[in-house]
Amino acid sequence: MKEKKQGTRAMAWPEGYGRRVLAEVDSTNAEAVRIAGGLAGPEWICALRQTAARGRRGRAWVNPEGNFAATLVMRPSGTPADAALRSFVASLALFDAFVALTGRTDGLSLKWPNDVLLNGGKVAGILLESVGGAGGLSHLAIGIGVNLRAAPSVAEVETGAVRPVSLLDETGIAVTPEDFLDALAEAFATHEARFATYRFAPIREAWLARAARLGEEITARTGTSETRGRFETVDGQGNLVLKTAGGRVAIAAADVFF
Amino acid sequence: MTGLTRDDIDHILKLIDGSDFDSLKLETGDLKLELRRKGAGPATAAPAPSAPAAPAAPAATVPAPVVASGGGSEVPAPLLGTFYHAPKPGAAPFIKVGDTVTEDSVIGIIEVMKLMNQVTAGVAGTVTEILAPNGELVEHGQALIKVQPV
Repeated sequence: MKEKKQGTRAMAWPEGYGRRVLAEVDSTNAEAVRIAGGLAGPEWICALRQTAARGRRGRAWVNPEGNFAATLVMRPSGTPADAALRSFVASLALFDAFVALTGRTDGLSLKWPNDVLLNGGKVAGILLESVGGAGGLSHLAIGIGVNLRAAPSVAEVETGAVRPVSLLDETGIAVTPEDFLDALAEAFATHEARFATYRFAPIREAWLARAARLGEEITARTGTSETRGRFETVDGQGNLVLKTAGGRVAIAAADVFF
Repeated sequence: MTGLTRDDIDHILKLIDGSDFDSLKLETGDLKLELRRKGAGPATAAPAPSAPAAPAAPAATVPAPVVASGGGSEVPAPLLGTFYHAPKPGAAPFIKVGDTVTEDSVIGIIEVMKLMNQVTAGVAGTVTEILAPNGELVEHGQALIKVQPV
């Protein structure tokens, strides 16, 4: 196990996980696809610069230098639905990495299913990509971008999206991508081990304890419909549960707006 | 055994009806018979929370459901979510009717909880029908496309 001093805290790189840091790559999720076939175990790919960073459904992800960009690529057992629950595992790990590096929890919260908010703004994004059918997955890539140093301007993000913020602007704390990687990898390994042993229940509980707008009115929008209701909980399958005028609705796929 | 009579098939269907099984795959000599209970889907019971993770079944043991009505194989949704025909809005669809696919060909994307899962065909053949509309929610096990196996 490799030890690294981080302030006064010794960071331990988790056993069984590979670590590669690249000066530049097109996109860490694209690199994940290229190396997935030859993987011996899960591996973190961190890029100091991405030339073709991307977000959901082909959207660009603005990724200035000094910000964090990494992908964890793994070949998970289990169903594609299990893979989707890693949205919660990854966002919990991000939350804990921020806490480990800044020593504070105030202002941090999670937005369904996997956005990390800092002072109500979006400080990080997660995009999971997998390939497979009814027979199982060939690989899962969990791409994570964090605005450590700079946030894109409001004009650069989708209309109606949460305001982008950076860790530096909001807290005055400067963290390097490599230090962030070490904290994130450690936090992810902890939650992933819990998920592997006890399944979703403890992940769900921890996630709900950090959830934004629980008990408040929120809107869930899909390409074809919109549901507004009181954010009651996240159920045992990871669905967003809203209490609407017509009753309780469990939503699996949607964008959430506050 | 060189063939099956209608009575034989009726007998097998009754056996399945009285069993816990949803599908039957029988291969003997030149004969290949696949039967599936109508509406058969994945078990709805969730695993007990305390159960340790089961190892993934090898891909080969989970065949894509096949319909016997001469319409070819239906590729089922491996998970619930929003089905997309193309990699991104405005892009060409992954496949269209008449295309040839292999088992590993990507036929679409299903999104759930920010997971974008590229769905592979799981069967080789010619695409005869796109069943699930673009951008709409599909259930686990719902038929996405129809493929005439080669």
